[in-house]
Amino acid sequence: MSEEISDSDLLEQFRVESTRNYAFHILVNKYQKRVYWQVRRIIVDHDDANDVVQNVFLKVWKNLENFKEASSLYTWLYRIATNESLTFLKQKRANMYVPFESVSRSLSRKLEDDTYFSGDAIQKKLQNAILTLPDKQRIVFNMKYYDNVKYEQMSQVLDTSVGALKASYHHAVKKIEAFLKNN
Amino acid sequence: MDKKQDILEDDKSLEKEFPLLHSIAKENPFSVPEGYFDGLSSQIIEKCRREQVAKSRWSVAIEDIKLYLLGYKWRVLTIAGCMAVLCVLAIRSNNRAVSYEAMAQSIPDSLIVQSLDKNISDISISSLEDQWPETNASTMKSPADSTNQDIIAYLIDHNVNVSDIENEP
Repeated sequence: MSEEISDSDLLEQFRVESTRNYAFHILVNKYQKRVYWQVRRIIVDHDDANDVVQNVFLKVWKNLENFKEASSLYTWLYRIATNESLTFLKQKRANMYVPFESVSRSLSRKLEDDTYFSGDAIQKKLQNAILTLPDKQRIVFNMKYYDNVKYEQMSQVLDTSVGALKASYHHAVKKIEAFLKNN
Repeated sequence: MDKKQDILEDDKSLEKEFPLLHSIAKENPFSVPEGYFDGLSSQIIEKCRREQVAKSRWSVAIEDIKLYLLGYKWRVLTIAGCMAVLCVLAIRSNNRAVSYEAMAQSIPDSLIVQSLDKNISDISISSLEDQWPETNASTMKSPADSTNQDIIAYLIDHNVNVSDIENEP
């Protein structure tokens, strides 16, 4: 049912006090999976991803009234989800007082112990390869490789030029191929 | 280079240039606890509700603090105003006292004596005239100039008994 309501109708209903809660409920149901998987691929751990997703929707609840519709609702949500995930990793890094490599190793360890990882050994290897990438490159790779997001949309989400995104994806693929060859 | 990157979007090109990556199935290897997505929206909405309640509590608390500070401000202003008025009054009275002293110091003693003499004689004459209109002020003598005869004459004129004077303590 939620898929039937367009984003503009949702926004209109959200702006009316009497239908606000209903509209938000529909919005969460409509986008929760896509937002969750975007966050989960960055954060890796399910519990952490769950916390971040809740914070993403809390931010949406607080700011949706002022959403100017300069981009599509989903692009806006994607952007919030990406920024919240990056902030989470940054805080984690700050709390651990360790450089990027160590957080990457910590995420790899989580992947090894993750109860909610249903892939085979080669899938795990690919995920470990992805975890060696810098945060932003990893996000670009995930968006393109798994979600097949258009560069133009990605550009709006990550506030980066299309050319830079293409170069970033190219570097990421090369690094992953090298990792798969050498490990 | 752009052409090369664009080609990356094509799976055939991926197979040629990056065969290992291409050999891996493009599927989501992560999973979630059973029924996770059924309860997620309720968790999120509950969190938003709690946040809203907490926010409204905060706004009430902030309003209370604002009102208290406003009341406190007025109290402080009232006390400060009273103190300012008291200070002004104290300074003014102090200035006046100083000016009288300064004025008195600047007047020569001879002028003060002359003024007092004049004032005393004025008061004496007028008061005497009020009390004894038949008495001629010019014939008045000071007690030091009065002779015993004058005193006796005054006592007789006013029917004062000598024994009354003697009996006085």
